[in-house]
Amino acid sequence: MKEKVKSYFAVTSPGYRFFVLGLMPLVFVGVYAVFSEKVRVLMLFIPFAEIVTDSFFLGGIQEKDAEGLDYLRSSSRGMGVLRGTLIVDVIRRFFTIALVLGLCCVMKWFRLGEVGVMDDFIFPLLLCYSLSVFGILITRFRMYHWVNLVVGYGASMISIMFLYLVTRDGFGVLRGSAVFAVLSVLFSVVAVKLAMKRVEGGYYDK
Amino acid sequence: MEISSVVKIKNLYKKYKDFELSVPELVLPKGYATALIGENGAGKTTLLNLMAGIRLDYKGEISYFEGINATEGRVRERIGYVGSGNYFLPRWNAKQIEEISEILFEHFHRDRFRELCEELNLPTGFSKGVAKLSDGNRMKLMLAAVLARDTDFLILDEPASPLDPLMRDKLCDILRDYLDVGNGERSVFFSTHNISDMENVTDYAVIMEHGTVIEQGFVEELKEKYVMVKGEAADIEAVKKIVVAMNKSAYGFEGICPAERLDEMAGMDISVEVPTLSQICVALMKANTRLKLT
Amino acid sequence: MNLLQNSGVPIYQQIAEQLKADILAGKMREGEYLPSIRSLAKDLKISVITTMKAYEQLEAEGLVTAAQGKGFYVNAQDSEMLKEQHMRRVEEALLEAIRAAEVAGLSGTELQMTLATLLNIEE
Repeated sequence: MKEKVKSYFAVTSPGYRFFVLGLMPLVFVGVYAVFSEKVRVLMLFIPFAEIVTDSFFLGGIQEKDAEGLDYLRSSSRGMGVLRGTLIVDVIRRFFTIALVLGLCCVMKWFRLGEVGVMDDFIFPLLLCYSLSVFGILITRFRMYHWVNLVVGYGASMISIMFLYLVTRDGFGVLRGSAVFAVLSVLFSVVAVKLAMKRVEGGYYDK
Repeated sequence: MEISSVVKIKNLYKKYKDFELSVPELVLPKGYATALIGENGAGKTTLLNLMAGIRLDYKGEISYFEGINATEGRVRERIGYVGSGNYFLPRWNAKQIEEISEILFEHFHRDRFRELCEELNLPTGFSKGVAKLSDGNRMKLMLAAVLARDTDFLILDEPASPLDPLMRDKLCDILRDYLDVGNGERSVFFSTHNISDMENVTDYAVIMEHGTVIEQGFVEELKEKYVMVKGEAADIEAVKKIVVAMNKSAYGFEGICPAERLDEMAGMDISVEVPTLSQICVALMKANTRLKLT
Repeated sequence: MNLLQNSGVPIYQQIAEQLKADILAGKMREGEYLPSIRSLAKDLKISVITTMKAYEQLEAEGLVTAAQGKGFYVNAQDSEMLKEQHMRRVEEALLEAIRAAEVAGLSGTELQMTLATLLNIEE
């Protein structure tokens, strides 16, 4: 794991890391602290931000003839480094969202004296995360900012919708969490595998 | 002289859409700089990519250093590859390239990389990322990253093209220095369109057309194999069948001709010169091109 | 070393000539190693194969010997051969003088007198 984190740090720029690990969570927690009492309002922003910022990291990596990978390909360790980076990336996304929601839950508890672990934390976390990762699965095929924006908005809207449906129609957050837990795992694996398959395909005319 | 090889290629074949690369045999001498020359689309980059392991879809065999197969990972440690613009991720800056290189390659020396960046006058730190650099600076950066490693063989795709004349001169110095330090153990293989600028660092030349090698040899041998012939306009028709290619005008002609066929011009009023590598290459390319020349 | 790019004489030959002059003049002694082909190429800013070819020419003329993996060293210049080499240069220069005299329309006697006069001046 240490190797993978090292790879992630080398492949990502300090600016990007500062943004997704520092500034972004801070703003979310700030927004919640100032404007909202409902944790779920953050669902409007998190998938959107996660998806849009990816273009500053691995935007377009699944494109055919994606740019900038020859240096990695010329090393026998290059593909390992890229795989490590992709794995750390999905883990990082999960923890960033967990951190933001966790802090908001703590704030909510101080403010209202009550917090629902499933309602306010687990379900929103799995929902947010799976939709974020699903979004980057799509946006990584093309390096267009407008695609990122559309997919980002879409993912945020869908997550709000699901949250509404699950809580209103009595489908239940428990069952909802189970579904999105499965999806989270599925999307994470696909995110790593698909990007690797596309990049390794670059060794051949695929 | 006895010369061992750095690369051996056997029955190399690759087809992509309507392009075909086919090299039955190619052996590059160890301890020397070899230039790969040919028209746009002749297959130079494809050949270099296959050799550098950037592309793996080929039939045939490529082996390095007397018997290590190109597919073995350890061979990558000893080869430095400089490619096209598609090389670094566009947002990487100097610091990241340092870090990533240390992870990617066992023998990358950070100090040497910094020295080279300074020596080549790269913008210090260039925090903005590779995409913002000019083509020339990007080439210098690739060279710095590759030269900061301990390697035995350099594969360079068009290193001179984006560089200014002074930097091309410097590139020649760098390559001669690389060979000198290697003391016969290091070799260089580069493609180029700038034959004249690179001639004084070229020991062996490989000329490609339409995906195959049409001529190769040590430069000094090629200069004995071919001669430059100049003569009167009246002899043009007779000479046409003998020369590889020629330039003609109302005043006369000049052409490259195989030295062994010089006898056939006996009795004509001609003068004979040692050609430059560039003249030989252009003549051979002219004789094989599909360009419409008048 | 003075190398002329456009003199019509191949670079390797110019290098060989100049090294030969140095060896015959005794500037490089017996057993002494010539610079390695790659370092000479670096210093002269020419390709390695060009210096290699120059050294091979010197080797063919018997002035140097290639030692496997170590480079080229200067051979013992035995006095007979040395004398012959010098003699050949004298002959070459005199032949040139004769040709020039023919062009100028000098007779054999006049040429000999010129030589004698020049010898006197030199002494």
